[in-house]
Amino acid sequence: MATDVPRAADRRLRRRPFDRVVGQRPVSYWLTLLGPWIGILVFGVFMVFMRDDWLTVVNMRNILIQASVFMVLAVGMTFVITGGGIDLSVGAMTGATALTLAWLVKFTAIPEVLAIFAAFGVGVLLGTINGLLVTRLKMPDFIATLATWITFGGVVLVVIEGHTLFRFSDTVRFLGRYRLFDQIPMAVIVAALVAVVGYVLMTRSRFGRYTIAIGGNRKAAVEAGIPVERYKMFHYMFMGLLAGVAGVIMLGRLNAVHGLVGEGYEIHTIAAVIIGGTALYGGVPRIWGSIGGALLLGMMANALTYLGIHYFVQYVFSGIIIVLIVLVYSLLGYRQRPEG
Amino acid sequence: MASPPVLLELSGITKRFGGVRALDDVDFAIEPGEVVALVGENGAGKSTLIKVITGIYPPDGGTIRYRGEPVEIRSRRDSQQLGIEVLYQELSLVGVMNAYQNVFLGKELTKRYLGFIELLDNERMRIEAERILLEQLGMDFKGRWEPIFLMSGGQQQAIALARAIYAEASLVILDEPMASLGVEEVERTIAIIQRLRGAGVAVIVISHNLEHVFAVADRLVVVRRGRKVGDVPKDQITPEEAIALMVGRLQEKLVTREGPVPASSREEAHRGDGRPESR
Repeated sequence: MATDVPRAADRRLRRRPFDRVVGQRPVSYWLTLLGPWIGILVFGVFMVFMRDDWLTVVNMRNILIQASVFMVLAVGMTFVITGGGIDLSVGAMTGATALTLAWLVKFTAIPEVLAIFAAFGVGVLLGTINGLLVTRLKMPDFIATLATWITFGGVVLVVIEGHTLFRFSDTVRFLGRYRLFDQIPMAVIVAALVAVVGYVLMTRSRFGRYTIAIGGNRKAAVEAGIPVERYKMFHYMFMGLLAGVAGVIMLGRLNAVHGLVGEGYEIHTIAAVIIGGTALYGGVPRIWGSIGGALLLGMMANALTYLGIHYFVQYVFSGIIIVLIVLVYSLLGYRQRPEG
Repeated sequence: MASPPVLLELSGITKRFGGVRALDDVDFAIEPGEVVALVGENGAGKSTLIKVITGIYPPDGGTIRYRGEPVEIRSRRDSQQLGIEVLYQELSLVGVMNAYQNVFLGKELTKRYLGFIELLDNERMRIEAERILLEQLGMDFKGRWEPIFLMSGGQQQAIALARAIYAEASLVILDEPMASLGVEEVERTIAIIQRLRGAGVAVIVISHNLEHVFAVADRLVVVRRGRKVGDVPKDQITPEEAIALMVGRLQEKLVTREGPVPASSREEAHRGDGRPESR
């Protein structure tokens, strides 16, 4: 009986074919759900035709390793964005945690394993600073993390004084370099683990449910007695922790840190989340989409190298591709949540 | 009855905003299972009165009793603990969530895994929400897992009411519940309000539409310029009288269960030092 009632949304949605409701969701919902995976498939087929040496185990593994840092960051960013925020400081946080680890093992006698956890701790600390600015000082998320992006990045430059720290032990490089059974990179295992934990948190925990509620309708969340500020705080702390994980992986992979490490990661991460179908204005998370988005961007970066396109030109291409993908989504009538 | 007959009783409530008296010495009472319509023109003080009851605007003067006990309602949390639930015009629901997620928002059911991992029990919440919606509200939501912003106004209202029922509300306040509904859905909402009354829940309905008010309410309370000018059982007032009270063509009409209160005696009570006795 309830289904024959005319839906209020139908009147607004009838305008475009992509807004037709199929399986209780607008068509655009399904398209954005499958979007990154279709992109991966199409792009993969394209690359196979372009270069017959592209589809190899070694290259696939390289793509996965390269993407794993962004997968970890994108899971955290999915929570921040779904909760109605944004974190522009992830790149700087990733650099800062990598530097913390490098500095501790180079200049102190601290056990290396402890130094890794210290790097995670610094990530949480930096995330807490973001959270405090947003919840206590009531700064807009965008402005607060823009400020900390510059500040954290600046602190890294001051500490490292233009040097590069390099050559680290296998313990320090464990997350970035170790391979299980000599085959499966630890970084990929960590990324998969973070994705599974992120998915369970998002769909099966209060943390995830309240994140969606806060981003979906903040007033309703407050009315339901959800401590909105506390959860916003958690989002930034969680993001900071994952930036710490990403920083440790990155250090292990590069075997070096310099003052500009992590630069551009924030845009790359946000792009992965948006390509993955998470609504930029909050309330609609797509954890697996973010993983797919990071993978697709990783494939593109790899492909540009493969096709012999200069490193700097890659930036231009990445930018254009991101704009195109976002444009396609908006043309699809990418709307999964009501206005306001 | 074992419980005291009056659920919520406000006496001499005053609320000022700067120099403006939004509420001036207002008395208000409601019993369990009673449906009271709160009517008045825009700015007459309806929403201020509701916000006093829900703790959003603590009053500047006057007393509040709940089940006979004096209480202070200074925040939304206070009123929630008393079992007061409000459904605002723009419903307090999360549009991107589905029905059961909204019904249980903030009061989720959980299940333990391995003794220490506490996860949401989505399945049990879905079944329980569907049961409340079907048994208490007569709405079939089986297999509806889409976000509720794709649903009709009436369906959203049912979800909001299911929230209130699950919270075991003793008083439900509906702010313009029928403002954006179709004819069929208005009838359904009226039926739902009658079900709530049958379950012993007190209901305050704020509405501009006197037709709806007369269809659903047991008693009308009319406010004008921050004063209560009408408090009459439905069968002792006509819609014309109600409008006259709202716009000020009729000065005052107060009828208690014992009988009408003469306007002159109330005036004297106001002039004296003591506050007028509540009903």
